[in-house]
Amino acid sequence: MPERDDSSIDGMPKTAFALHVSCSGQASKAVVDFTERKLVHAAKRATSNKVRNNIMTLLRSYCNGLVAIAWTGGTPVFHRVEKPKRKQSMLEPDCK
Amino acid sequence: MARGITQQKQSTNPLVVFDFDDTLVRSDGLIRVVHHDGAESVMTTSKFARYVQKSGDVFDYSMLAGENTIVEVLPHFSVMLDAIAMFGPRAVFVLTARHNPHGPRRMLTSLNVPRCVRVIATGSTDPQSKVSWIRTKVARDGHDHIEFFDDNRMNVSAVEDLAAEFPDVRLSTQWVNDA
Repeated sequence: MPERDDSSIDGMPKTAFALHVSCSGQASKAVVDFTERKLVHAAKRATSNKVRNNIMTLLRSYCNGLVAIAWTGGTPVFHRVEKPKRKQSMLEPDCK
Repeated sequence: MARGITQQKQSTNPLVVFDFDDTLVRSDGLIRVVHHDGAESVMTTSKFARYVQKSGDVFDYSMLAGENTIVEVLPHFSVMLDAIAMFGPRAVFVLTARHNPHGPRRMLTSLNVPRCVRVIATGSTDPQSKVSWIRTKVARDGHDHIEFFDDNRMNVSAVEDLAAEFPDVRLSTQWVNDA
């Protein structure tokens, strides 16, 4: 899980880059991925379709282990991961 | 794929310059422009790079980060980290056309880029504003090697013209296209 970094600048909370919890090999129903939750929440609150689509695309990539996400002052910052740790079956749903 | 910096072992005083928007990071946020007649328009960072500034324009960059925006760290971000490791943070500069360096500074610091990597805001989309900054820097500090990375072809070709002005300086430019 991303950890909050208290050394953040300008009082902006930030987290480290992290992959989806399912990529850690410790996936469990008891483990909540807060980034996933925050993205779902952000998509629900999105005021425009474009923003919602962008968030959903990011969420899908995140759940598939294609991107790592950090949070900086409430903004998701992502970078692409070259090799996904887990190959997802075409039949497997992207996200719960 | 991002091409890395061209290592020059004999280079003693290098200057490595990166553009910020769409070179190091990309935001899906918008830049708001208030024109001199009070009309407002919004544009993406890539449109902003090609926008010809008119007198009286006031730019608002607050929508580039915050709620409902997503920021992507682009492959050239790691090229910048390589440059910092190779030449030291004081040789690396981020040169943005924005009017205020605080937004990029805050983003870079949050991504653990050392604070001594300076962010310079030229405040103009005119390629000559970046050329002018590099020219002054080279003339003042005597750099013998310049690396320039930008997603705007006009900026890249304008900087390439500096080769004639500084024949003894090794100049390497790269048009960044991480679309």
